[in-house]
Amino acid sequence: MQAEGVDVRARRELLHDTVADSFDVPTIVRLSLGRAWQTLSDDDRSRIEQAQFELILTTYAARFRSDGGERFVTAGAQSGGAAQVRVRTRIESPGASAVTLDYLLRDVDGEPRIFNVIADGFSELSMRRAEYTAIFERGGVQALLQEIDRLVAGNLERGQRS
Amino acid sequence: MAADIVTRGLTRLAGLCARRPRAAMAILVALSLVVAIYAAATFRIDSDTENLIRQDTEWRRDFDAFQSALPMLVDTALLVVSGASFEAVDRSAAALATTLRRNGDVITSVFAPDSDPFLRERLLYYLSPEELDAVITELAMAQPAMARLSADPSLRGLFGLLRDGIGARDQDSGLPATLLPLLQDVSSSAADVAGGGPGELRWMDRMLGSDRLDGNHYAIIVVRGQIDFDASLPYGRLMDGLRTAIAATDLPADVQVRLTGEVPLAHEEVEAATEGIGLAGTLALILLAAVLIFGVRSGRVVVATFAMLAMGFAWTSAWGMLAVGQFTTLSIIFLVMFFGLGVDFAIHYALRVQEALARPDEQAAPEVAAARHAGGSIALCTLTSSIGFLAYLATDYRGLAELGIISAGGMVIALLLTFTVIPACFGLFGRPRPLPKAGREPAGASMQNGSIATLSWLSQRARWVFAATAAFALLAAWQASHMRFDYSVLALRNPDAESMSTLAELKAAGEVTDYSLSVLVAANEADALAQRLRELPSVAMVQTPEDAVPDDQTGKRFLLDDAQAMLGMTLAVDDPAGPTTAEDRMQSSEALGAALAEALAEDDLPASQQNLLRELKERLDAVLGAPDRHELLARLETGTTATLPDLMNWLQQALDALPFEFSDLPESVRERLVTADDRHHLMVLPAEDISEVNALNRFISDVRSVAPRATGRPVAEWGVGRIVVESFSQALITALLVIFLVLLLTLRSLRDATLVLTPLLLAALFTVASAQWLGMSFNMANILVLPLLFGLGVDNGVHLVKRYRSEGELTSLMRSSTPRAVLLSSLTTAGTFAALSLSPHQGTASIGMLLTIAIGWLLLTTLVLLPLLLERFGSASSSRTSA
Repeated sequence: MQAEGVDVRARRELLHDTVADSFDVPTIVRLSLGRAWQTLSDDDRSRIEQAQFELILTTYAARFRSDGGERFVTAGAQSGGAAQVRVRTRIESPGASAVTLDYLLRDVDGEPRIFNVIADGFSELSMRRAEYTAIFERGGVQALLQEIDRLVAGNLERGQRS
Repeated sequence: MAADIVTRGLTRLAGLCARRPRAAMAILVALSLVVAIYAAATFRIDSDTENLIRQDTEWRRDFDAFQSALPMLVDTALLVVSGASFEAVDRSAAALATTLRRNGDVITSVFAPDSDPFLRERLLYYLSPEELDAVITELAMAQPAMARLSADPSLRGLFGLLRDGIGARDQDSGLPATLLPLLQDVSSSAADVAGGGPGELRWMDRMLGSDRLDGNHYAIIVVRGQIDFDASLPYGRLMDGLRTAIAATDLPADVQVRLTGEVPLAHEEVEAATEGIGLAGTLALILLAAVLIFGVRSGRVVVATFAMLAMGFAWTSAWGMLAVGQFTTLSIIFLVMFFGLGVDFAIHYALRVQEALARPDEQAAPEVAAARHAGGSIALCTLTSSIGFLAYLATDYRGLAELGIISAGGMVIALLLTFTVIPACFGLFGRPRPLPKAGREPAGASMQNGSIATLSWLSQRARWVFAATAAFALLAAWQASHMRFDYSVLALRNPDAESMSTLAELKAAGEVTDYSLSVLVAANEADALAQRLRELPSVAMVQTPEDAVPDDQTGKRFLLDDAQAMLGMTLAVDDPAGPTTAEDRMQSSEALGAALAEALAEDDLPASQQNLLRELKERLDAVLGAPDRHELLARLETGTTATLPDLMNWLQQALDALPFEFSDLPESVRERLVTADDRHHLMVLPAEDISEVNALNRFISDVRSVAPRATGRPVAEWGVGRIVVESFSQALITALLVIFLVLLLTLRSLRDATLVLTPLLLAALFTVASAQWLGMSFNMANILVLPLLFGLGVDNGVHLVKRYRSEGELTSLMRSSTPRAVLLSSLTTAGTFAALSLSPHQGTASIGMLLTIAIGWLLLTTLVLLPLLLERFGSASSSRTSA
């Protein structure tokens, strides 16, 4: 049992720095909340950003759990409007159809960082915006943090069942 | 003496026609036909209310200057496209604008800002930051759909998207939140298509969240076109052109298009006025016939009277066109009043003829005798009535001056026709019964006896009656002093007409209409002036040219950047899918059905989602099971996806749109806001409802205290109102003085002249007091009533006083034909005016009501008070008038 638990948390440790360097969490949070973000205190903002970071981290820690022969293919990079770069990738798994992942990056202090992932046409940022604005409207910062924590817990649990 | 000459002339005419009825009738009928044809051929109504007043005042010059600086704001018609769906209104307005532009020979200019491409691309900038934020959230919700659909805007793409969405369901939260509204919309479309409808899916509404915004959306198209001032309905052609264009445009069921603005308002007013006249005229004739039949009880008199009225109508119409050249919505009233007034003469004369038939010394030539006795009075009445009508002639109120000319002519025509047509008719069809019939009590004798009894009773208490009258008069004077004048032209119009009700709705929705004030000011003073105007309590808002450009565009550009981030270049498609075939559609539908079935079978979704899926499945199955399913599916595809390519295009452009300035706006927008000599057009909207005249006064004086040159329709009407009040005072005094003089000259007795005027003045006072008590106010139309009342009312007094002089005492006066004639003629006049009050044109209706009230009071004072006054004060010592 101990060995399985270590698995997801170990992965989490491994991925920590990479995720921190690759993702533009403040922008993700700002875009996910829209106008509501302007009403938040700096304190609230950092709490949400931390929670969001955990969420992204544990999502990746939970997903890439075993080497079942997946191949990660980079299909090219494109410049888009508003200083965006789009990197198209594909994940090919044996016995399942390929998943297209597009990463959208923007410039943060000279470094390109991811702020949106589009999986098979579904923009994560869009879905997050739709969900977060609804939750925030219902229960404010507390409700939002609770939800993110719930999702993190779910990721950790799923990650263990490998 | 003039009176004698006139009497002799009339007597001779009457004699001629009585002796040679056939020839007389033939000539009369022939002349009437000629005249009728002339009238019909030249007939024209001028509905331009501006022409009702002679205009050479400062406020008029301001208004004209404004109109020449901004000509595109003059003579406009507004097409108001409205509905609950922004998208439907948007599309309908664009379609309508296109149809309108195709009819170039009637419609000369079309201004449709809501459909202008430049403005549409920048639509998002015109939203408030809150609204824009909400739209971006909606876009986020719609993003997965847009990604799929921009690559494949077909049923295949749409159903594929739904399938994937259903497949992506989560154990905990069920279907993705972004999918639910889409499932609902497709479900509704499927149901609509199965029911024969187009199955329209309104993506733009969903995206803008406009179905959440309550209330109506408006798109206004401003149109100018051909106006034909020579036609009887000058705006007719343009209005027809507009209605045709509306009918020719394909509009969805939940979109309405209504007409308002200057042109439709004026057009509907003319329609209301003429319709009102038609109705009133018919009703008046019926009432007339009823009163005559019951009051006179002689078929021959009725026939003769109607013959006289018919010919008189033709002659008066022709006279109107000849003397004035046109009728206005005011003067056309006379055509109805003519029935009531002309009938008076006929009744007095005919009854006198009947009386003559009963007198042995007059039996041989009753028409001549009657003319000799009654001719003088009737001629005097013609004179006094005409004076009453002509009282407005010297004033600036041209509209009533024209009515005066037409009416005065009409009175003379009535006079001449009375003494020609009636004798001729009697000659042709036989004379009526004599009155009173030998040995028999005349009809209404009991009523006559009753009234004589009442009068006797009253005359014994004459002092009390006078005292009571005096007290009542004081009360009335107090009440009447509160009477006010409502100069708003809008108050005259039919509030239920489409143009009026739409105008009211636009005002309530805060849209700018004709009924705002405009100020033209140099560019560098515009902001300061606008600020000072905004501080006024009666001003709700001031729109400046700068308002045409949204503020905080930089902030909004950042938001739009965010939106683009969210959509992630969703809208740029590398290689779009091709069109679908019937098979493709079938396949996609069946696949969706299978996915729905699978999800429902698992049965672990929340109940509301289960219901949604079940409903969709049922509706889809209904479509698939129908015999014409291929056609239904094709229609479903069109309904749900046909608008997508354009929408995506628009969205792309809207998200890319850069901030802009006033000078970037299209010319058609700029030219209405800044003149050629760089003056800024400020539009000032009122805070209160300015259809209430006190609010209007406050608004105008407030604004003009800050901007003395402020102009616009409200100022024009206010200026006109001032002229009307001046004209009214002038006319009243003129009428009174001249009539008094005429009475003095003809009755040759100061006492008699005063006696004739007393019931009249009292009746006028009581009329104003009752009107005030009933909540009526004077308006541009019914201001006619008082001077007119003097002209009409004097008749009755004259008849009574003259008869009293010849009879010598009260009882024989009351037994004579005169009081009866007075009663009947008053009833017919009142009946005609009462008929007018049914007109949908408020101006006409208020004239009708006020005059009816006035005649009522006049009857009372003339038949009750005057005899008492005559008995008490009118001793016959100085009687020199002929009987």
